[in-house]
Amino acid sequence: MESNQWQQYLPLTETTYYILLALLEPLHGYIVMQRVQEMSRGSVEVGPGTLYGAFSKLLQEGLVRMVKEDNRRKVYELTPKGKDVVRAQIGRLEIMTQAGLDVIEALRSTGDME
Amino acid sequence: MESMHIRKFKWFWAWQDQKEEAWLHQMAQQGYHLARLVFPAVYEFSHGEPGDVIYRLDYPDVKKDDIAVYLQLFQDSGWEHVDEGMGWYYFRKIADPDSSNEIFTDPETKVQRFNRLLAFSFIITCSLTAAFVPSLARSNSIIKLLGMALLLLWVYIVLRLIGRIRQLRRL
Repeated sequence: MESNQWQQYLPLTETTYYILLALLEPLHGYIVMQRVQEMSRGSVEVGPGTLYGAFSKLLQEGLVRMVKEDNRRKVYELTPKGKDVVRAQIGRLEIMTQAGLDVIEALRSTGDME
Repeated sequence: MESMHIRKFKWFWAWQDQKEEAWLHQMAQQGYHLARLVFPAVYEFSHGEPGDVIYRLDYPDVKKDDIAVYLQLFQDSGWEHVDEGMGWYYFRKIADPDSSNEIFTDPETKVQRFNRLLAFSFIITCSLTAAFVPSLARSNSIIKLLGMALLLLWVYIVLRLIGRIRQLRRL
């Protein structure tokens, strides 16, 4: 099951979660912003101040690494550690979603919900 | 026609960032667009067409050799860098109805700027205390008074910054 060694990073904020998801492939900042917006179906927007701060923190934590600098744009990608943390987060989200679905199912069977 | 410049003196404390942003927005609505920061608290505006221009201020933790990368990220996402002063970077863009028009979009990074300012102000306050308190017995009353005033000012700054951080944490 979910290993405990990533607990210190969890839960990820919504913003961090989507940034890490986007960085499964090497991307530079602005593309990350666009990907996050697409993946979250517009529910999460990342401003440049937030993204710059997030990159610094994720680099420091070793969850992402810089691949190259190209025309004043730094390209980042997930490290193996970053991938493990994302996986652990997804495991948690699955539990949360399942717990929610179970409750909805129980409500439905007692007739409190359409 | 274009190059009519005016200068305005206006003081904002670090914790009044939203007030300063709102003021720059109002000036733009009257056709006065920030041209540069002459000195701290002295703003130069150029006069032109009134516009719905949003200003945002950042106090980033950015190393010298990374400033170009930092600015490029803002430029890519539609923010024009106007100027910087005392570690604050001024950005603007025309208000976009489809966006939040914010450079900080999550609570954690919103607070980070003020945490850095607080750490900096706290160090100054401690240094002032260390420099000033031992000399209390020896120095004359004017120096004592000035020292006390300076120390109180920095204690006040620290308290106001803590206030701003707590305010942002509640959002």
